Amino acid sequence: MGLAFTKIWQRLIGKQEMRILMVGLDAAGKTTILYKLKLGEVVTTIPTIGFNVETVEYKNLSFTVWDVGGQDKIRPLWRHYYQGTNGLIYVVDSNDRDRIEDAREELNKMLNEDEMRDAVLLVFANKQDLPNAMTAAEVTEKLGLHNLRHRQWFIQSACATTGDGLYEGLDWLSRTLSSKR
Amino acid sequence: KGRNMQCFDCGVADVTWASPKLGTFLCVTCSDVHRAAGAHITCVKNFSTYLWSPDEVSMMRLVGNNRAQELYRPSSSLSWSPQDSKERKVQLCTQLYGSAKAQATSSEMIAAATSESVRAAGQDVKAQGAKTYANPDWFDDWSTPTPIREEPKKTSPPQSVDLLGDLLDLHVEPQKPRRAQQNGYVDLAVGPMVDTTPQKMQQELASVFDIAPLRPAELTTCAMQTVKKDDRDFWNTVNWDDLMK
Repeated sequence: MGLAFTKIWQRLIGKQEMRILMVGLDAAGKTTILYKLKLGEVVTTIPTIGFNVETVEYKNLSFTVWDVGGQDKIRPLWRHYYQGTNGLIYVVDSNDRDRIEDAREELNKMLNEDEMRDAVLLVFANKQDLPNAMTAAEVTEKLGLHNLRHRQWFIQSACATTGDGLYEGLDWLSRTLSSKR
Repeated sequence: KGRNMQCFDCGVADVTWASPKLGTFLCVTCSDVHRAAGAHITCVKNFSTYLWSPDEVSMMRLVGNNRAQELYRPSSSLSWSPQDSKERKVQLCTQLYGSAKAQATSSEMIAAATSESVRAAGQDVKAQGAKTYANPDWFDDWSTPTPIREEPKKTSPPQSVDLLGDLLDLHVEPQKPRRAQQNGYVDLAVGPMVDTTPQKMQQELASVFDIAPLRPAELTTCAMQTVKKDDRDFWNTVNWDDLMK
């Protein structure tokens, strides 16, 4: 009873906590996005070996965002972060046409995992400021997002350095995750 | 001489990264600048957490910091100063490597490096084990010439990564296990050094590449790779607090 009350109370006034896993190929801009959301500024990053984790408050939600390095050899480590993930943020370098196929493969591999069954998917088509960046529609097609079944997903074009699109993405996440509860 | 031990762009003597697209050796700070400039201009990898394709290894051998000086930046000795702001560095990086001429040079060198690695792999199979492509100028300041070593038999397919394997093999007994392979890519941090300690491995790696020793974080990752047979154990042994510093 007490537990039930706590839950209702949290729903009414408290912040719901959401576990968010943010992954993507190396140099997609994950760490830049994380710190732009957390601090509102562009920090000088170094390539992530291991992970960064920050809590980002947005609307009625408290997102715990895990930003995990995307270099070839540390990608197998992503799976250690799957458990309990409510939302997956997949960051794509829209300028990197050569590796969009790799990005698709890694994404599909991850979405096929049982632990990720219930996670909603937000894709950031990042680096829109660079010349010849693929549009969100192009990235959607190249990642095969339309073929996804039983998955709530959303793609948002973004530019981490200016912050464009980041909050629109979080907005979708918070609406979708709130309604799932 | 010794140019691969200094970052091509800023001159700092702490090289742990490289651009296989340009063929230059870099420090971690400049590798971040390259990442910010965009994949249409350059891309970077380090020596511990990335897999390298034979083409890329061939590219590093073909170009390297000495030759890159003539190719990309004949009139100045550095691309920028370590003290410049990141913004400024990215701007200079884009100008320097984003020009049509620099991009054409890079494509040309990549094509040459690719055909060299294909040729080497093909010859390897044809020669049935005789070492025919050992090349003494693997990195321009490689001091010891690569010996031509006889090997009884090779069963590896043409797309294997023998170029690098030969190089790494120089430092170990012939009976040691072969390097880790994945889709024709090679893991520079594992290779035939699987059962050595991280410190030893670091020394080997540094001597193979003629680069500065790895940073502690990279060394940790490097060390972890040696026990990755069981990922779960791996997970438990990582000191994540340490990695986050």
